[in-house]
Amino acid sequence: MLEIRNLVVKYGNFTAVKGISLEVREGEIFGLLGPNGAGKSSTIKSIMGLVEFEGEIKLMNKKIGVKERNLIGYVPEEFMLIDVLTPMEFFEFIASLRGIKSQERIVRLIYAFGLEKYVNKPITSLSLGTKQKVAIVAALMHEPKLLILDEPLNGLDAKSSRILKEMMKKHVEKGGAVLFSTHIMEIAEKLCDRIAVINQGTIVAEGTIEELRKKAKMEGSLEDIFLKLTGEDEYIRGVINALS
Amino acid sequence: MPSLRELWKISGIYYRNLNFLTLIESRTSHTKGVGIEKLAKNANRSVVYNKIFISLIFLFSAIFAAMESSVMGYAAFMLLLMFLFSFFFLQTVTYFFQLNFQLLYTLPISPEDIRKVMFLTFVRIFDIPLILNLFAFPLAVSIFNLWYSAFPAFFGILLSELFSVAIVTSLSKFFYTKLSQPSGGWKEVLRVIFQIIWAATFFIFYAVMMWIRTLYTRLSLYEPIIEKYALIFKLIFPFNFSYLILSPDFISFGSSILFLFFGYLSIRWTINNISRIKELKVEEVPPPEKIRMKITGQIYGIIRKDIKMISRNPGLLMLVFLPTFEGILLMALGNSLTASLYIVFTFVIILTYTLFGFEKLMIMKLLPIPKGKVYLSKIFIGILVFGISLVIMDIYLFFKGEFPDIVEQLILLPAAFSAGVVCLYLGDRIGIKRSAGLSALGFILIVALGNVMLYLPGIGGLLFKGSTEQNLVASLISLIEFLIGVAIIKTAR
Repeated sequence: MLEIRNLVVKYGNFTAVKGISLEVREGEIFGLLGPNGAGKSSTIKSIMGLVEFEGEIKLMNKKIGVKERNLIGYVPEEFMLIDVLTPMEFFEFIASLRGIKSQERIVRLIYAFGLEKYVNKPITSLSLGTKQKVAIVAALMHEPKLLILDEPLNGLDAKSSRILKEMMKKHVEKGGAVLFSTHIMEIAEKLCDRIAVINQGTIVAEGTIEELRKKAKMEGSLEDIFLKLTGEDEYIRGVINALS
Repeated sequence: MPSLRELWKISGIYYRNLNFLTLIESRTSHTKGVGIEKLAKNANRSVVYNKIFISLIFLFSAIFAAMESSVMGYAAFMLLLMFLFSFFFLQTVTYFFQLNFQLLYTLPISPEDIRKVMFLTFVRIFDIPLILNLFAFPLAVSIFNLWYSAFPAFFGILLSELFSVAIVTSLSKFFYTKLSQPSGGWKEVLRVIFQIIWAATFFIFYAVMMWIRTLYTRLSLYEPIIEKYALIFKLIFPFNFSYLILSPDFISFGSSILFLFFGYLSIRWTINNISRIKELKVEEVPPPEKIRMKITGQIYGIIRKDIKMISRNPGLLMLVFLPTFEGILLMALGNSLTASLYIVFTFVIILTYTLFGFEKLMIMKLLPIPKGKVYLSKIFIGILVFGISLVIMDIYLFFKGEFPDIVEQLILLPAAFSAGVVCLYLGDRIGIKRSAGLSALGFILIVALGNVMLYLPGIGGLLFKGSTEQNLVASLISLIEFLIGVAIIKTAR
């Protein structure tokens, strides 16, 4: 569904992403794992056209243009909400621009994420978790083919987190695809069909959990594999020794 | 325990934050992304420039007032100082009440010291003009009067400043709980009225500055009335201090002492309020019984969103008023309506750029909306503001006994639309991130081109002045320009 070829993202002299290639297939949840500053968000922002990039990004074999944007639902890492509006006004605005005709799905999402109490309050006054829910509803309202979620579980309560995870599963069962970045290994381990581990702007490993285990030549949790693949296990041991 | 010097330093950090917040809020558009570092850097510089500007204005004003050497002249200066001070700092003080000092509570600083930091941050808002005024006016008065008249002048100014700070504090606390809060029915109307007052403070300040000298001359005409009721005026601030400067007696002295006590109470009230800053309170809104959404078309969706943003953002609302205000101002200074239009158009373009900045950075990249539709929605608001400005300027002329040519103005509207589209298109191509995203030269060139397009139908018509073809030629040029605008909207990618 989504193809990325030789993606390079530069911020001035600093190269954040160094020639990444990956593919997100229909019916799968694809996880992007990596330490802070590894290039996860830059990769996602490139897909959305929010940063300048070199390389090729295609959605369903087409470059992402105005029409293709309606096939994507995006939850950014930083809120892109309009603070002076209420969630209701924000949803109305997004729905108008997405050409949604019926409010039914939006209302169901509002209730699913427990936002009904907050729909008439200014977004600026909402808690971080509630703002995240607003961003999630705005991304899901048009039933997109591809969901791109950048650290979507940040600030979410257990109930909403569970609902979102279940929705992601249902979404891929219906033939959609999910690309999501997270630093919570347990969630990635449970949810993702395939994972790409990014470190310093390059993919150091890609595949199912089993394939990653083989590559790391070790058993254990995804966290252990991740630390081994990113070469941070040695560093952590050193830090712990120094601290104790 | 931190020393006062250290607390002053900490307050400096909060003050920089306040300047940045004020700048961001007044810019109004989405500011995440490129250029934020530059904005942060410029925030303090622009605040210092503003303070120097206002200090100079007060300095000249103090000299004019001292030269008048009359009860009315002195009182007028003190009143003017009080109100202008309040107006000038109202917006910054409003943002001061939104500052979050909670971080300090996690550090080893006592609550008492935190209150001091809050107070010092507040003091920093007024610093240069406050101190300069305190000495400029007394000095000027002592030059044009007896040397010891500087003392009552000093206390008169001090009191004006104390009252002014109390006024601005109460207004800000009152306003900040009302602004940015969506609510239905009459509350919505009330909130918009608050916003207008909030934004209008800027214009009042500007207008008074333009006519300061005339104001003094006009006010001096009331001198005989004041003399007639001198006994009463000696009891009222700031006239009591005027009398104390010019012809001190027991009544003016006693009254001044009483008002100094009021000044003491007002500063105590202010300090108490400053150190009790709380998080932005939001009125409880009950959840709706049934959710009913209003989903519209794309263009109307953006316009609706923009209007809501304008109604809740004083900075944006100010930009909406600016074209009309500047137009009327130029006409009041003797320019014709036609000659004043260039400034109206320029401010309309600044408004559309600001509104467009948000979509450019986010909406156009994430949502399935063609550029042309975004242009159209912004130009719609721009032309609406342009049209309203034109109507208000017509009304102004009408009251002056002149009759504007309505047909000529109607012919102008399609050209204004097209000029707006061209400006927005070029600005977008060159790179609007915010209204300040373009270089000054780039902006000037684009607006100059827009103005050429705006005036072209009129110039074309002038070639046939007096003949029946004049309006026809102007209409034709306006129509051709309109079609160019439509073509840009249709083909914009």
